[in-house]
Amino acid sequence: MTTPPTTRLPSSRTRSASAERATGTGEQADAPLLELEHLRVWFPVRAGAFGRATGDVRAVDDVTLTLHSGETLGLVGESGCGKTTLARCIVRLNEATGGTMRFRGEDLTRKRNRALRSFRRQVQMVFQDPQGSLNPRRRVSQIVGAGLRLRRGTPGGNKYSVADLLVQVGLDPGHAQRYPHEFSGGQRQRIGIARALAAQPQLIILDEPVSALDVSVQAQVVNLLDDLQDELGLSYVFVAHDLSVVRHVSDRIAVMYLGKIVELAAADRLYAQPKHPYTATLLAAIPIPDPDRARHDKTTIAQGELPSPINPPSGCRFHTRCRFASDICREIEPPLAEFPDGHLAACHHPLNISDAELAGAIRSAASPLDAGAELTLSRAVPSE
Amino acid sequence: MNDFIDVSETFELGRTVNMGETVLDVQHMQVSFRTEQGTVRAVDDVSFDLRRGEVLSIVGESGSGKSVSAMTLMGLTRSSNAAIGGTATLADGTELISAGDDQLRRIRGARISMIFQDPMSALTPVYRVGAQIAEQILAHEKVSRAAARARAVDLLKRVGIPRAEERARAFPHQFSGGMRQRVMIAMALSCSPEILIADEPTTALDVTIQAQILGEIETLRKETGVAVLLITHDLGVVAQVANRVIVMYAGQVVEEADLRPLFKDPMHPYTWGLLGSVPRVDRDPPERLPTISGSPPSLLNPPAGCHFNTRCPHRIPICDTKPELRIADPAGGHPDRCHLDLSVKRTARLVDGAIGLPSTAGKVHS
Repeated sequence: MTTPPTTRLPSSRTRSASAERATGTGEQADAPLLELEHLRVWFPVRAGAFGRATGDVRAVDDVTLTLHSGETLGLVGESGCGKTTLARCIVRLNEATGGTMRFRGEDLTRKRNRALRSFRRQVQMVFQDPQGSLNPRRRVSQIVGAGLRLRRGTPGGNKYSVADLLVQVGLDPGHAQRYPHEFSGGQRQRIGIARALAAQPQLIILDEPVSALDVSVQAQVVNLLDDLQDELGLSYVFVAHDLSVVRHVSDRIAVMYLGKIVELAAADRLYAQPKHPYTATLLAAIPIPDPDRARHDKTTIAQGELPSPINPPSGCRFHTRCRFASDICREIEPPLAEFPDGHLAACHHPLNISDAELAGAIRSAASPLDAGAELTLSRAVPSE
Repeated sequence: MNDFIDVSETFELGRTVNMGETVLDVQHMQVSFRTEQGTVRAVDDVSFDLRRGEVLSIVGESGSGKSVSAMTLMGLTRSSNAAIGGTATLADGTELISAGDDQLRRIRGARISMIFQDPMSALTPVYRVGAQIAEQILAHEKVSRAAARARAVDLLKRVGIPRAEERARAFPHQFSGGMRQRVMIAMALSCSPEILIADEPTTALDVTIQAQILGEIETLRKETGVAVLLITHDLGVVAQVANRVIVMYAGQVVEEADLRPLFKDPMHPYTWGLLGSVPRVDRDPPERLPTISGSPPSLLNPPAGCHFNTRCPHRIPICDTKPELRIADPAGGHPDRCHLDLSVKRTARLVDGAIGLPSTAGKVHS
């Protein structure tokens, strides 16, 4: 089996270069690529013999996000926080139960079937489990070729062949007639990426694309995604529970907790100065591969587990696990505070904050509809 | 009622072993499986010892033989197509590899117990968790059913399960992943084993829960003196809890060291690659993540000589012959399986100031 080359085109990308692309020329300059406003995905909980709805799992509960062209947005949180549901909702594998979703300025929330065809070509998904998401009875040429057929008859539709795509993702085009089981995990994930690229999408939703892979192979796939973004000007939504990987690919990162966005900031800002205690907890829990720095400070580790999304805690949803929680946190859902550098955090007692930031913060328009009408920020005081 | 502290005291009294004493001595373990495609040499001459009160970590990628090594200790790889060789001796002289099935059954769960990666499939879905823990106690000790139940509740309390009396009557599906793993730990500790084998115990868990579970294992090790064999692919987890580390690649031990030397003075290029390819949150991100090119070799037909030579950018002609485990640095070094000279190793392992493997630009192996 051929080992894919790991170095490809010289990468000239920097974080600022991709930010420039976001405001570059062309039609995308005006409208963001993707806009979600107060998006909600609730699943009814049924009980009893008649399947009466007795409540809702609020998987995604009032999320407002924008994604610009050429940008990578990381979406992180613990399992059950709604990140995968949100990703699936963007590609319309789940229907939104509330809010709106616009793609290149066009409202798609209520559109169905045929009306979504062009959208579906432009937005593709790569799944976590490369084994489970490839049909074991199809050859690679058929799996990847399906996306190409979708494109036939559209402008630029015959631009690529299966072989081109396999080369692009670092696979040997001679292996096009093989079946998925003949490849290793990392190679299978490359096939999944080639399949997504076949439709020539603008946006790829990556749902935990490297979580199932060994570390050394993980890095290869992350670098491949980086290169493809440079070459093709793709936008990514990168869903992961692993904060250390997300940082390498993302321009901005959104942290989710129980269906809500609790923090959203440029990747380097989020890691350097997390403002939401939940983000700080997540960062502190990452084991650092250095014995001199590894042993945790126990106080920064979140106690307890994720509460039920059927009956989420009142006020701030993190208050049951937060060591800075005060009375206001139990009563009023914090709106998203927008700090002068664009950093958003939904917390009454943000961390790592200067006086200027505290004074300059405004209530963000992206705040959930049920959140408090006023910003009530004060410094965090740990409680015992 | 027997609370957990009593349990550990019985352990202290019952088995007179000292801290640091070898509780398991594995010599030249070999495991191979006959398959339709040929013979897979999953574990190829692995030797190590495990001492009381320590956490020994076996690190490697999928297919390195780390799990097969651990499962072989428990007799879980015995099958008609498996050939198992070498010895694994407990402190009292009991040899596990040649032990009969009855003898092993008495050891498993009582003297050596195991925690698996996926607690959902390791627990029976149709029995209440308290009953499952009590069953293990009853299988190994002559105690009343009520006493076993009571001890199960105490164990659940001990591993941090709130409302333990009530939760002992719940079924596994009523627990979250982290709580299930706590149940597994409670069950593993129920008979005060000398050795706890944890096979990727936190891989399926969120980082916050992982931190809690690792803390739990650490506390139990300190309190009971159990020797922990921790199998993981995550060097972050290793740095967190291990005392000593064995790095495995393609069925062989390629490096063995105490925790600090492994991270600060690693000798094998594969270890450099592993260390380099872990994304670090405590450092500024590099433009590109360092990788190890290629993927692990097939154990049906591993490369001749050094098994890592197809992926190693530092390959030299002698790498076509098999390297032995040897101590490269006579002044207090640790064993590794690599032909390179010490001076070469110490310069070659640095890539842009950090330990890693340089990318093999343009080299495509087949």
